[in-house]
Amino acid sequence: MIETPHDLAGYHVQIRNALGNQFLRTALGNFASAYKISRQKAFEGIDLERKRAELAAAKDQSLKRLPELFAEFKRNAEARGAIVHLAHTAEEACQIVSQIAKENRVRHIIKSKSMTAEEIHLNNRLETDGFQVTETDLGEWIIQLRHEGPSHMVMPAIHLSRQQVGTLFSQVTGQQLDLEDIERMVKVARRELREAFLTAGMGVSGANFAVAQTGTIGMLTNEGNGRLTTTLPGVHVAIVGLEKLVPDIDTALRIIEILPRNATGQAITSYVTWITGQTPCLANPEGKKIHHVVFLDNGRLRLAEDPIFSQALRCIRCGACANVCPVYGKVGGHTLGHVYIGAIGLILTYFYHGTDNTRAIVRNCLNCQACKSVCPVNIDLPYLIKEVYRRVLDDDRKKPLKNRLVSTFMKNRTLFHSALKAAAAAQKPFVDASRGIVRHLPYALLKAEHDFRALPALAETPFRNLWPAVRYQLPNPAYRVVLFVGCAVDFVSPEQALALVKLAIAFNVQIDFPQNQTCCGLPAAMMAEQETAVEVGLQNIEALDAERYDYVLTLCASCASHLKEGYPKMLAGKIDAERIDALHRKIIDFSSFMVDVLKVAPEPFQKKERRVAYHSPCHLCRGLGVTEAPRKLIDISGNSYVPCPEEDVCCGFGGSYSIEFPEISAAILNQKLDHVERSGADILVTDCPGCVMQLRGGMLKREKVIPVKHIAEIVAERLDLSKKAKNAT
Amino acid sequence: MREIRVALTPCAYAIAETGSLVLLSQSEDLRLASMLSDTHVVCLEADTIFPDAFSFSETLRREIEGGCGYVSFITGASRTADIERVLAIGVHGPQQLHILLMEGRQS
Repeated sequence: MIETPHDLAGYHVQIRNALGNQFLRTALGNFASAYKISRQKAFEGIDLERKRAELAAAKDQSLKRLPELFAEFKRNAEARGAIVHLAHTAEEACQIVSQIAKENRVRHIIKSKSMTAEEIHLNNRLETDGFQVTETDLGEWIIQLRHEGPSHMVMPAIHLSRQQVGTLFSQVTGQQLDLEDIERMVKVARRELREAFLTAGMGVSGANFAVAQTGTIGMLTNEGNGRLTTTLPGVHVAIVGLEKLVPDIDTALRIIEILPRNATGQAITSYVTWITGQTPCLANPEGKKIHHVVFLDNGRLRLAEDPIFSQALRCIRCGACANVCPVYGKVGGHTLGHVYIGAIGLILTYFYHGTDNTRAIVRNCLNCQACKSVCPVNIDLPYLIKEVYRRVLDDDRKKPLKNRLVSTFMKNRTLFHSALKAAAAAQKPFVDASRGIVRHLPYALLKAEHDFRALPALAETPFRNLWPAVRYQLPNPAYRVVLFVGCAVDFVSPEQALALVKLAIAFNVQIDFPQNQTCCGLPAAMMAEQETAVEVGLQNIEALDAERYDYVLTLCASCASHLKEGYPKMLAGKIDAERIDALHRKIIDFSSFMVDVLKVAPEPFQKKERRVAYHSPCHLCRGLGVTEAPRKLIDISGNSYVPCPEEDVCCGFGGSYSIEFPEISAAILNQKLDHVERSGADILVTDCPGCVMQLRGGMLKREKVIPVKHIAEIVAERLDLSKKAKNAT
Repeated sequence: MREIRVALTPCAYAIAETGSLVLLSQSEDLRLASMLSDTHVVCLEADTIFPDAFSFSETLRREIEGGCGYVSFITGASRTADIERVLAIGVHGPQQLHILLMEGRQS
């Protein structure tokens, strides 16, 4: 039923089909926009940062004592007549449930929504064992009828149109339904499923939490089917992942406070149900409900002790990480996941469903950090996804060619730079110098799918070779900074660094540029080439010598974010802590330097009536938390900022992502460029040379070409040196 | 049981912040009434309303430990957005919820 391709070739076929599904694209696109607004509204007046930190801490505490909490839950629940089981594997859990149904002579089983039951493929097993199984959650019932898996954890049928659902229901009922009337379809479900509720012998539910203190399981639902499933049949079985255990009611209330708001923007679900032990059930022989709680391990106990991955068990299954994922927004859950979908799905699939099912999907991540920014329990999802990718590579014992190439070249700086120099020479016949692009795709290396953007040409002379002619000494500088230039600016867009130099001189800032700096190492880290990333990291710390300067200045948000946040994690213990710390403290991006340090004012700039749209690089707004400075700088420097929708959504570059998944990269890119075009902007700027390459490359393939520049360039352009001299500091 | 049009039930507590009712639903009849009916009407005494869930926490624990095996927070009617994210009110549970708020007692 759920068939996830085990290799990239198969996966790309699936991706193409998803991208070609126009209804899916529209539905996901509408959802992505609407979700952000409802989430924001739902958290108004709430200190979300504090709540997230507190819930994450409470979950971590619980995860440290799962066996203890299980024992406490078992004791309290069994004192109230429940029967509590611990299933070590998915197979065992299925066996237990099937056995319970058999010994109670059940024929028909109804289910309310449970991702844990999906995880263990419970329905398949129960049907094989001869039971009739009916899903009662509307979305789950729909996909059950279609023999599909859920495409979202909270809204399983979001990939379907009302016409598809209406047609399905018409087949089921034998009556032609109005394919536009959603209300009618819901009433059909109510009527059809009411029969199942009244006649089923057993109800199977999940649980959102399990309170050890009282032996209580809790369910957050909206439809009422969870309540009916746990009330009408004489037997109730709850399937609960061990990580759902919490110590007390207060922790459960924390989950109740955050989960609905983060999942769907609701202040609370229509129903929150607290079930403890047996309740009266007059139809049963002893007048009491037969109540079983089956806890599932399936690797959770081991995960809970894993120093890297235990945080994944904090997940409260809100689905937000899918809701904000630009990739999910283009291909949906059947493609971005297996049973579990979205960012958390890329991680959990490895542990619950194995390497084969993880191999392709785990690569489909832009590392844009959108998921991490909305996770209610602060799971570092992008980091864990990369770690799972590393594990898969280890399991397969086979490194992709690009990994081997990157490692070989990146570790040896001279080899790397010579190769780039050779490439710059070799590309000459193919370069359209006036636009700085390669005219023809090197088809030996790339395929037709990669034609969605013009490829940037390597600069004839990289910045590092221009520097000897450009370097300067100021007699009495206001600031001394060391420039970390990064590969993209150095070898593709040195004009961006030249703009910076012009501004630095004008504002009395001394720039040093050590030649022995090299690639920041982010591409290697993203390919899980840890050794290479560490080596270049150490090279750069030496070269930059941050302690000697006021700031380490960057033009590339990706480099800056990696140097600031990635290096401390990666290099801890490998070099003096003070040196890493000096770098961490002094790294600053161009816009923040101009606005917050130099505090540039409008006077030295010549105003121009030019509408400037802004793209916010992922590594700047989420990686470094910088949002205001660039927009202010646009206006301060004599330009006019014009807002666009979704400015902080990824451009689709993601480094090698755009080469690995060009179709998705193109879809994400063009959505952004559509927004920019509609805004009426004259020019588009951003603070990351990688984004510039992606955005400019995409623009050049469109009918209406709006120029794309680094923000440093438009600031330098507007600088009026005569006015600056008048206002000299 | 297929045709419960209207159910009238007591309501033990409520939570103001989210507009939620709290029904102590140990009784099977109370559960069936509040789950199967098309219209659910509750009587809520104003002095049983708590400002928010956390202030209700202790009371909730006491009720559970005191023997209530089924406690229900109910906020509004049953609903779904499973089809095209269009909100539909009235799915498997009641389609309407009416709250009769009783303020104070006759002196």
